[in-house]
Amino acid sequence: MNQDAERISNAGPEDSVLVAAAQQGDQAAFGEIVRRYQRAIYRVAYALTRNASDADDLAQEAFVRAWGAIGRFELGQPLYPWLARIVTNLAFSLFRGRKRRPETPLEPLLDAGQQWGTTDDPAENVAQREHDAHLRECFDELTPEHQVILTLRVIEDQSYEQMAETLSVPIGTVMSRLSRARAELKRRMLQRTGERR
Amino acid sequence: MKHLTAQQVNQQLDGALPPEERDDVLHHLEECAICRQLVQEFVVQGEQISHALRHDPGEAYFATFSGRVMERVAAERAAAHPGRAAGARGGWLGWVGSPRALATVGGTLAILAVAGIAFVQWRSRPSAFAILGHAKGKTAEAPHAERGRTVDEGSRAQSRATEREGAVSKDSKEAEAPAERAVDRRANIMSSPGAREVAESNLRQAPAPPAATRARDVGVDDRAGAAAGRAEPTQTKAQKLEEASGTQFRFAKPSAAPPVQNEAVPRPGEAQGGTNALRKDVAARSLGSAEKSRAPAPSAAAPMSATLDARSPLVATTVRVCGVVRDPNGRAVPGALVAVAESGRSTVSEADGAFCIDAPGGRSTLAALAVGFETARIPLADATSAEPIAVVLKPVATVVPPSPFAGGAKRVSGAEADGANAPDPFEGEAAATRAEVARARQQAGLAARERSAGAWDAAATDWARVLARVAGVGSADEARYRVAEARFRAWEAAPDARRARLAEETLTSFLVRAPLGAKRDQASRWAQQLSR
Repeated sequence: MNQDAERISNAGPEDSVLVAAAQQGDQAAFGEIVRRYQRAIYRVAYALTRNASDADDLAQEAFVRAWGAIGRFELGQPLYPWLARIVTNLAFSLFRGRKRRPETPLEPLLDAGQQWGTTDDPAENVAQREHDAHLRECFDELTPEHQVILTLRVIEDQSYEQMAETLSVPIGTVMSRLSRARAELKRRMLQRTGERR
Repeated sequence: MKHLTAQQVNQQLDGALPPEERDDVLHHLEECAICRQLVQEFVVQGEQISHALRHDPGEAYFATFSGRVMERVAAERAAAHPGRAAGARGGWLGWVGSPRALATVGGTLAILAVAGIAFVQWRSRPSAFAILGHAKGKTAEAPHAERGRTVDEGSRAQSRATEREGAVSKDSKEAEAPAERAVDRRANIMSSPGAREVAESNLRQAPAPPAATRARDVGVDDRAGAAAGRAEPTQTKAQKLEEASGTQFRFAKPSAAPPVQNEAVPRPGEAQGGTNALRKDVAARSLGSAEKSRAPAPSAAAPMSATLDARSPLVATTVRVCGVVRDPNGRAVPGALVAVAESGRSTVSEADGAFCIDAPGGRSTLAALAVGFETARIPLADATSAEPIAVVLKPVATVVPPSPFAGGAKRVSGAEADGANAPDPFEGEAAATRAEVARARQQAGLAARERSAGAWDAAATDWARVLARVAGVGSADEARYRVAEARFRAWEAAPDARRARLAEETLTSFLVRAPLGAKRDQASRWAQQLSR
């Protein structure tokens, strides 16, 4: 899934133009930025919180913070990693505030059939839901850094450079962190399914 | 065979292999099933993550999302704008709006409030003040000056209020008692039965106000009365005193006593009445704090008066006036209260009737009051210490109690007569005023025959009209008495709260001005009757 394609499909002025206008106090321009990146930011927020309500709060707060800091944004730099960094930092803050991992949400279980349960086999649906539940639980057990790197890569399809920009870390760190995150998630999934067996 | 590294596997997954490694990695994956399976597992993992962690809230959610964000942005901007504006202003303007500034200002105000309360409480303790005043003497500036002014005002009020009473007794031992002893002193001052009754009645009517406030009230009130009645310079001086001291004298309205209406002299800029009921009470109290130049025990008031005198330009030039108080037979009158009306200073004559008192330079009036004598008033025009003053007090007439409906008292001795034998007090008034008097008398006669409250009310109104017209002091006293009588009779005929209040006001208005005599005694009895 190419998320860049989705953002590029938004017809209109370039991000830099909108940012420049927003830096001058143009709320309409900033509104356009919100509309342009709201889905991406919500995806990141949801992936990190696994809760629709938290994701909504996080996404809105991310844009509000972005408005407050738009004056410090350096024109010419990619906008999306900057927005993603804001929302991931907010997610980290949320994690630290709660002192615990996000609760396992009900929404994916409730609407799994609506989104992916297109098969007519009820048994397969149940197996898919169980697998997703295990995966979310294993994902919850990862460190926030691993959750974020996997989210940015898998959910948002960010490149290494974008992830490095978002996380303000070197590309090598992105690569190693992503590699360890994948391995850790795989290990936990194998461990969980092995226990089940 | 060497397997792919984890980095190469991830780069393969993410399409990030360097071009120079891409062919080698692809070749290895074609040959190595383990590495191919590993990559395949991560591909599946990615798809599963994407499925499990993705949530689509629907188009409706995103249709309104930007709007909600922009609402919050607008709210944040509105909330943050003052702060930014303050920050842009910088300096103290920015600091003023900060919570720290509010806390600082609040703390400062709290400290000031506590200090103010402590100061007020300290000032409201007369005994402690008196002790402090003795201890510090003239070194204490403002509090002494303030209290001294109060004492002087009170003394002045006392001297005028008692001018017409013609009765005073010496009790210098209580001179330093500020308030409660003054109540006892008042009983001594009001040695005549009628005066005592008035004093007690007034005490009941005005129990609460502090002594200092009362003294100040009387000072002002009496100044106004004096200005209206006789002494214009006194009013001028009162204004000067207020201007010089920066103190706005106020009337303290007693809680129990209703306002007393001065029907003769409407005072501009102040509520009529309210303190007349206090006048005699406070005048008596203020006597306790009057100057006792020759009192054996040092008075708390004396040094304070001296302090004020030393500071005040109004009394900066004083002349020591000495003299002797005697009766018409040449016998010395001891214990006579001798007062200078303009300054409020007073002293008491010795056993041989001798006295000395400081009088302000220029024109002033010396008043001497003693029990059993009428008040003597002597103008001191350019008095000097070399001229001893001979004060001759005239004995007052003795009276027999009149019947309640006699309308006056019958003198059995004395120089003046009252009632039917007395000359018409309105004789010297203008013709129009005398016509009003005739009308009022006619109405009063009608009311006496009918004994109806309405008729007495009408009579009171007629007499009040007369009171507003009369010019002489004696005729004003007579008119004031008639008004009070009519009000009392109206209340007697139909007692209600309004008539009681009017009767009390008019009676008090008469009593605080009236000289000793049958009418005063009668008015005192009416006032007592009202209070019961």
